[in-house]
Amino acid sequence: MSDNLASAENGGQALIATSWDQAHPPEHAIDGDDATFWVTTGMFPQELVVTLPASSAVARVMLRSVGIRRISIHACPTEQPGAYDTVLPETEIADGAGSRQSEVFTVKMEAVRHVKLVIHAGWDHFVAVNDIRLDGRKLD
Amino acid sequence: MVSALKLRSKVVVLGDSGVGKSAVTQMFHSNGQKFPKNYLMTIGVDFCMKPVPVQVADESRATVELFVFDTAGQDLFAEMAPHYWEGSASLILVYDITRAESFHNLAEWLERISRVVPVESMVSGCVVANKADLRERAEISREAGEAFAQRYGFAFFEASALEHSGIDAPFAHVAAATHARYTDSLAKLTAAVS
Ligand SMILES: Nc1nc2c(ncn2[C@@H]2O[C@H](COP(=O)(O)OP(=O)(O)OP(=O)(O)O)[C@@H](O)[C@H]2O)c(=O)[nH]1
Ligand SMILES: [Mg+2]
Repeated sequence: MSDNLASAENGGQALIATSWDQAHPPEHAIDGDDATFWVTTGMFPQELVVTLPASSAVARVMLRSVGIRRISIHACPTEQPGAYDTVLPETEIADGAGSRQSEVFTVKMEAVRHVKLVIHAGWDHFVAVNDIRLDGRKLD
Repeated sequence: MVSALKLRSKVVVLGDSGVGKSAVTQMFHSNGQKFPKNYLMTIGVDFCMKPVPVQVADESRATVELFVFDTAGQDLFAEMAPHYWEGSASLILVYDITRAESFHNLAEWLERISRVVPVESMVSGCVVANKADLRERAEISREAGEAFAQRYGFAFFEASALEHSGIDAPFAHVAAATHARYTDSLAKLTAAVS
């Protein structure tokens, strides 16, 4: 049985981000609603950290976004965010001509507390992260 | 209370050596306090950040933090410069009104940066005719400068770093254009998912 561990319902939190517009806060990336989004407010790289309520194993990252060009994903096992391991090296994703991007990344995170998305470049100056799902299970 | 929106933008300053790119940038950054009287060639790049408030229609406030990269005009640094231009959203081209050559070279500067960042993808561009205090020695008319700017859809400004006149206008223009582009992008990002 696997769950979307990023969702607020399951205790996921998005508290650390490099951009903050009160109309499009980081929480919008994990609220399970595709119509809401976290927006970057200028320059790259941009970062967003999703914090899980407990140590978990994550097998897939599902991302819905608009305008992202290059992304990498990193995982941190400790309760206090510290050193991150790269689980997805910098990867280019297709433009979609300004429409929605929908990506699934198979990753290996065995015991993770924080998942960091780094957006290295955009197809436009400002990009949106509509939804992040972390598919996995809590460790006992 | 409505908290202020903070945007960020990278701006590059380009043009021949000695036209006053560093003087313009430093006078902007220091609010007119630091005019570099003696020429000190920029080695590679000088960098500064300054928040610029922008006028917003409603009662909310917005600030654009301009990350200004004042790059070297000396040929010596021609290979390094493109590295510093990467990721720039706006450009400010500077020429010296008393040196026609510095004006004629603007097209070459544009071509060089286009190889790194497509100019049509940029948020804004400005042409700054500097050293307006030396008007009696001008080799390039205001009209010629304006015509060049217009050809590329850039805004034109006359300035004197020495007299601290016309210095803030190009940066205010970049900040306003950045905010306008953000508003536009938000509308598109919203439309993409509805
Ligand atoms: N009269 C006058 N002199 C100026 C003005 N702006 C700059 N200068 C002088 O022009 C010289 C060159 O200025 P810089 O700002 O260092 O030139 P730059 O374009 O940064 O040159 P590089 O770093 O080599 O690319 C300095 O001696 C400045 O004092 C101005 O508005 N009026
Ligand atoms: Mg200089």
